[in-house]
Amino acid sequence: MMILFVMLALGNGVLLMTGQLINAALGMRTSALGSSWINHVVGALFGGFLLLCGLGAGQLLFSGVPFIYFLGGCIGVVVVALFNFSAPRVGAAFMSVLWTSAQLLTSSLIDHFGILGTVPVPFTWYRFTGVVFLILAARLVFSKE
Amino acid sequence: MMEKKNQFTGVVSGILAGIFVAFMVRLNASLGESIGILESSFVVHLVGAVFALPLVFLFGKFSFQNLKTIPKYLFLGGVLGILIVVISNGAVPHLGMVLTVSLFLAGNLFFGAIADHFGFFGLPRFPMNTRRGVGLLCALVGLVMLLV
Repeated sequence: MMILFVMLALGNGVLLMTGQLINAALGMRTSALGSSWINHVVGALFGGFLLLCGLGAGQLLFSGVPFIYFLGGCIGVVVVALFNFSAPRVGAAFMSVLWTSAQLLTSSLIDHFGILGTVPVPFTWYRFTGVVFLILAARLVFSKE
Repeated sequence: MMEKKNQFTGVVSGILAGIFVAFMVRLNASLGESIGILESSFVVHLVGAVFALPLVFLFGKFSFQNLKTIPKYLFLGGVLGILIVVISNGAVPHLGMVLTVSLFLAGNLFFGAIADHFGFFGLPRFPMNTRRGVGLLCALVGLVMLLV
C-alpha cells in the first residue's frame, strides 16, 4: 500500500513541474497573479464537474470542519505572490532552493509535533540527515550551469 | 545599499513562501481527511479563485480580450492542479508530511533534469552534467533515509 502512495507522490512531482511550466507560460501572456487565478478557476470548474459525475467519495458537508482547514486555497495565492516578489531579486534557481529547503524543514516540524492533525513522526537525526541530503540535492540540481 | 536590501527581502520572501507551502499542503490534506480528497481539491481551487479575483483586478494586469489569443492548452494548468491536490491529499495521511514533500521534490528534480537534457516542451536543452548527477544521487540517498 505504501509503495502505491510513494509512486503516486513521485508522479505528483512530475505533474507539479509540468503545472509550473504551463502556469509560467500562461503568466507570460497575462500576469503571474492572473495565471494563478485562471488556474484556480479552471480547477474549480473541472473539480466541480468531476463531483457532479459522482466521482467524489466524501461529502461536501462543512459543519464540524475547523475553519482553518479552508485557508489552503488562500495561501496558494499568497505563495504565488511571494514567488513573484522573490525570484527577480535572488534569481529563480536560488529561490527554488530557498523555498524547497524551508518547506522541507517546516514539514519536519509539522510531522514532529503532529500539528494540525498529523500523526506525529519524530524528527530523528536520521531523518534530519535525509532532509539535509534533499536540500543538497535541490542546491545541486536547481542551478543550471 | 538597495542591492543588499533587495537581496534580503528576496531571501526572506523565498523562505516565507516555503513555510507557507508546507502549511498549505498540511491544511489541504486535513480538509481532504474531513470531506474527501476530490471534494477538498475542488474547495481549495474554488477558495483560491474567489480570494484571488479582487486581487487580480487590483494588481494583475489582466484583460479578457487577451484571453482569446492564448493557446487553449495553456489553460490546462487547472486540470493538473485538481489532480495534484487530490494525490497530495491522499498521500499525506499515509506517508506523513516530510516523506510526501520529499517525494514531490525528488520527482520534480528527476523529471526536471530529464526534461532539460532532452529539451522537452520546446525549452532550451541543458544536458545532464556531473553536478546534477551528484545532486540526483543525493536525492536518492535522502529518500532512502526517510523511507527506512
